[in-house]
Amino acid sequence: MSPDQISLKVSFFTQWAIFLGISGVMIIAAWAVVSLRNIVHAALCLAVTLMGVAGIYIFLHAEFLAAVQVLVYVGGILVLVLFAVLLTQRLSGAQIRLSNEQALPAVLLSAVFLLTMLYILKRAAFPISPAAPAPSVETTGQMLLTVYVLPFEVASVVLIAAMVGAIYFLQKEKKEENIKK
Amino acid sequence: MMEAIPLQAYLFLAAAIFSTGLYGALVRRNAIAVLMSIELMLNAVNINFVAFSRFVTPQLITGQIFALFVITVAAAEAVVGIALVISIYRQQDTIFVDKINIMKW
Repeated sequence: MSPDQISLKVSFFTQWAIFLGISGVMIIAAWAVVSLRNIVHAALCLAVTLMGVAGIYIFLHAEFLAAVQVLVYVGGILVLVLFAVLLTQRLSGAQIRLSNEQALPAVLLSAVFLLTMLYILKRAAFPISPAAPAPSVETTGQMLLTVYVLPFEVASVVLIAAMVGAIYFLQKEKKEENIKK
Repeated sequence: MMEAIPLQAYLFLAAAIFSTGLYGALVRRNAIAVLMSIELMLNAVNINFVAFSRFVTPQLITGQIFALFVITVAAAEAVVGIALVISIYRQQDTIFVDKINIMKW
């Protein structure tokens, strides 16, 4: 039995309802990320958006990426962001100005970008293939260890470099103090 | 197998989230909020990658592999970015990007 045959048959209406629900929540949460005053709340809204992205991946038959999204983004990056917020929290009071003085040009730029993209995407015709999607986990594993094995290894070097760089930036500068003494 | 949701719907969603992130990255004063907006933009791009991978090349999942690498680089970017922000906070006592201007003529 192919994955298509055993997959749940969900009606078009239900699929649209779920998709629109996830999209609405994601867009509202994304807006909250960029506009909330409390930066901790903004980080938690970012978690909602990232979980929504994982849901969209499941819609697109990318189950492996959905799992990676939850593990890496929600479990890793977001916890890191929350730690950074808590380490620098002293600065977020009620009276502090939230945005810089470029708010109006930024709104205009974003709106123009969005409208241009919507216009272009509405008119564009993409070469859509009717083929069934490949099984996500199996194909990803095969691709990563055959065709994309070099980028896969380079990615590990990038991660090591980032880790060493972060440790280097955050260590206290003890050596200079010792030299001064 | 037919999909109920067309490709354009995913692209519209990604465009909306990308614009929101762009606005946040341009406007927010808190450096960590700017980093969060950049994460929003990277996620919007990932949605595009996976959507094109599903609809244009469903058998070769190039877009999904690319999204995987984008997630890797985003993790590295977040780690280094937050390390820099905390380092600046220690030295300057601020993380407001319009206050960090010692390199500006």
